[in-house]
Amino acid sequence: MARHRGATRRQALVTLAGAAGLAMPALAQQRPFLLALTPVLMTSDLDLLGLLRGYLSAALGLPVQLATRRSYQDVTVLVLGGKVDAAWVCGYPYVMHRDLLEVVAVPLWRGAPLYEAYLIVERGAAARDWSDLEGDMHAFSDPDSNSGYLVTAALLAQQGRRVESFFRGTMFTYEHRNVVRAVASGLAQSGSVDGYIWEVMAETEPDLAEATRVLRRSEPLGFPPVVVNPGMADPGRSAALRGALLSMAADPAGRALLAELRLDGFTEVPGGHFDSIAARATLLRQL
Amino acid sequence: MRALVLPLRPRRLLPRLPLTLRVPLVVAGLMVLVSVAVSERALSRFDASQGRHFVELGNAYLDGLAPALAPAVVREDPWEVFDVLDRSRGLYQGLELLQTVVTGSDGRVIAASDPRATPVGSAFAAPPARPDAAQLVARGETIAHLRRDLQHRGSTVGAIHARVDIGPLKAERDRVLWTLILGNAVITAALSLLGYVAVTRMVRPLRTLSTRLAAGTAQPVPAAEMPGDAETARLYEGYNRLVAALESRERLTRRLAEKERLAALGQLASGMAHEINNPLGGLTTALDTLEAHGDGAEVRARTIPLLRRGLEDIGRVVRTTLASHRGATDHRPLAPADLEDLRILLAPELRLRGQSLDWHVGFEAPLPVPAGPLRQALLNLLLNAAHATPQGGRLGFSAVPAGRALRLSVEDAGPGLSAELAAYLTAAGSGEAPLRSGPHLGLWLVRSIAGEIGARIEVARSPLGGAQVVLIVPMEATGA
Repeated sequence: MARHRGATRRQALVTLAGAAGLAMPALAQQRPFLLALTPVLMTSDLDLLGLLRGYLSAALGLPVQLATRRSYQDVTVLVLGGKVDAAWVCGYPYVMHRDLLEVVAVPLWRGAPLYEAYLIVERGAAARDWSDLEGDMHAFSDPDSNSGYLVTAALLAQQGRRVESFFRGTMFTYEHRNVVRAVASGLAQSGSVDGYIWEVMAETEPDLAEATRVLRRSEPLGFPPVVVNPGMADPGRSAALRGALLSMAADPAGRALLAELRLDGFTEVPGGHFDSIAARATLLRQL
Repeated sequence: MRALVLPLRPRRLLPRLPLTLRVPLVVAGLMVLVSVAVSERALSRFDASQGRHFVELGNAYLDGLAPALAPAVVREDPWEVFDVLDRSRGLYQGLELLQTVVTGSDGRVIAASDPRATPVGSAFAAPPARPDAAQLVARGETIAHLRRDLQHRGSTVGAIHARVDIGPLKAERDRVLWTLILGNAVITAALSLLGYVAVTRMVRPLRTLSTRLAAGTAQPVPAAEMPGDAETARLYEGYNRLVAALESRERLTRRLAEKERLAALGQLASGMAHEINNPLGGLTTALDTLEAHGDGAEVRARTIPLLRRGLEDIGRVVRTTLASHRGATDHRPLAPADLEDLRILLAPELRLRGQSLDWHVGFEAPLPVPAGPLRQALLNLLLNAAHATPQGGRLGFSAVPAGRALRLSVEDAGPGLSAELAAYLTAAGSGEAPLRSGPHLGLWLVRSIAGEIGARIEVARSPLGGAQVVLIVPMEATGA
């Protein structure tokens, strides 16, 4: 309904503008640009969201609304259903819906569009290897998260083990930072967390991050991408977004935002960039 | 007469302390009682208020948690339960949470604020319920256990167990207690000091009076020392009037005593006149005989000794009377002859009454005790004894040295001395003069003399049936 109303209003405005013969920019009077975010970022940081909205508004010439949701699934539903123009999602939901979604751009972290998935334990824990985690209470970030679930589940699957039987119990914290909190507090003895998030926390919240220890790092995997649903999205808007993201590092406000995010910029990636994630998803599906 | 015997002081709680200390002590004691009572009330009110506050805060904490926790407990989501507990940790200032544990319907731990101490999924032994959380602090407990069942759509899905450190509440209670104790101690000390100062000022006139009284002789307060405030001035004026009355009474008593002595002497003198008159007839006859037949050697030899004896009798009577009249100023050592004089003086009185006197003097050489005052005292005692003893009765007198004292005893067959008089005689000091003549005045003289020469008086029951009054005179105390 909202979309229907929005479209109606847009048509009315276009008609009005045309009738008036005004040479105003076509996008200026249109509906705001909607970008959905998963807690892949430090979504608790309102300043960060403000910077992002500010940069995108300026770059797109549009008011920008950011939609944050608790779970990855909620965000995925938003973008699949065309309720938002674009979404910043995890690699796992992307590969699950690769047929419907299209990558706009991928962040560059430490010079590459890649990150790692960490297995963390309490700082003082005796565990030396992932197999020592058997019988733990384990904290996952989100059932649709690559680093926060898929990597660990696939690791166990490769050994013929299942998450439910390997661990004494599991919990989903729906935020990577919360995985670190759960492990640091002793609520869980181990956790699956986004390596990028852990590293940023080691810088911004060293007390919390250093209460945990990285037990295992995965091989480099595709960094969570910004995606659109080409079947429902406005191609012009998608292109504008790509341009805004790719040129972020060249803009002072963009650089400030990137500095906050501890990212270097955005880039385009070749088609097979997320294949290793897709392979894990396949493995898990077959279990 | 009752006033003669000073009433014994009633026993007191604080016997030897002066008024200036007693009043502050009483003030302090009362203050301690009052402050104990007030503190007890204050503390129990504080306990009630603190307990109520604690219960309210605990309820607020549990009420705040319950709705947020219930859905997570239904889903058995450890993270969400922990997240709620963790975020609420700092929100309840004044509630020192040690551990909050959330259990599911099976009693197992879903999550706890300190998961290391209480791991997820462990069995939780809920501590026994405390029915009266408000009294925990007063009972000296340091840890309180709160519990709240979690309701979701009408059924109990789990429970919150909070362990709260009430040590700070106890510390606060202790602070209040010490504040009360110290505050009351300061107030008590201040009031006691105030009491001391006030009473010291108040009793200053009394002290002036007591100093004057302690000096021995009552002296009026001179006009120059009269204080300005009316109350004290009235007291001093009253005191001065009392001193004046005492002086006049003393003068009156002395005059009475003198009169009494003269009366007694007059009585004796009439007896002695008779004594003198008796031989006078014989002497006159003897003189007549000498005049008529003085030539005869035989007559002279018979008549002159008769005359000599008669004259000697008269001379002795006169000498005795003179000695008695010399009174108390005669401090010669006491000789048996002095006592013999008394016997002679008393003889007419005894004869008149048909009384007999057992006389025993157990010494021969003069003893170092003052003769004059003793003769006067003994004469009084003997006259009293004669008056007390019925017609034809017996009296006793003995004077026996006993160690370093002379024991002089006078006994009669009268009705005996009343207990009051006996107590009056034996009490130390000069005592108060009786305002009555008669035997009491005599006894007053005896007691005054005994006091002057340092003698002790003992009163007993005589074998003769009446009283026995014993004067024990120390021999050193002659003053001669």
